[in-house]
Amino acid sequence: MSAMRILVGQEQGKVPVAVLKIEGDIDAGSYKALQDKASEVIEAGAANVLLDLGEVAYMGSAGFRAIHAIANMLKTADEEGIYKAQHLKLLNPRGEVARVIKMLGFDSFLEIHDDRAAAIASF
Amino acid sequence: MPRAFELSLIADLHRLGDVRSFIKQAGTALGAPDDMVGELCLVVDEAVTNIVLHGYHGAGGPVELHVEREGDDLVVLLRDHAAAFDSQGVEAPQLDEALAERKLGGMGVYLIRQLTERSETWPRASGGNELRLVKRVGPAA
Repeated sequence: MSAMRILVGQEQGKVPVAVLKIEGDIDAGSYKALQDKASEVIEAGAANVLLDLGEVAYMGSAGFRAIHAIANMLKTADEEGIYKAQHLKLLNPRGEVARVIKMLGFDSFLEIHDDRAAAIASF
Repeated sequence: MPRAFELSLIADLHRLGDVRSFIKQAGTALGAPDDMVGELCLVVDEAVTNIVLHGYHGAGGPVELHVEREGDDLVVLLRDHAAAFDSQGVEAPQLDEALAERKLGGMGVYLIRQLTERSETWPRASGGNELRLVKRVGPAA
């Protein structure tokens, strides 16, 4: 049970990718900070975002609401008719977070990677 | 070993970590396996979030939690002092809809329904609401 912290990094694959590494719990008290940080990064020009969930022990429905909102912020016209989001991907969800991602069907719409380099290269 | 655990707090969205810590401690002490305790933390977090957002309209308010074991189940009672509200009536998300088409929200109630055997809510005679969550966790370890 720990307060949430977000570290923002930038990596160059085929295209530039903003990496948001989240540490701590994502709940109804903290999800807005994640959404706001993503919004700030996207407004500053990021078109591709990787959310690193490797240090997230807990994520409730509010976290999924934030991820959904971030996916909508990054959606582009070239994605029309494509089922999986092209500009938002997830890295290393663990344990219960991974189980809830499946339970809510988010794995159908978001690519989930367990290797950081492969995740960056996939954009 | 205590048979029941209680916590009273002025719940707001920044106390959810305290609620999860309490459920983790109580569930573990009552002999539930770690994965079931994790699911119960999620369910109770979602329930308290609903009380704060819908019962207390985002402001803080008193919530009492009581956790006990009944056979193979853990039973959590949540009592609040809010006006009556029906979180059970919230529409669940359409999980087969593309993400962009899905409505935001409704996922908390969906998770509560998926991860409990029963969830029942009723108004208390003294005012406020009582929510009873029943989670099957198996025999005490």
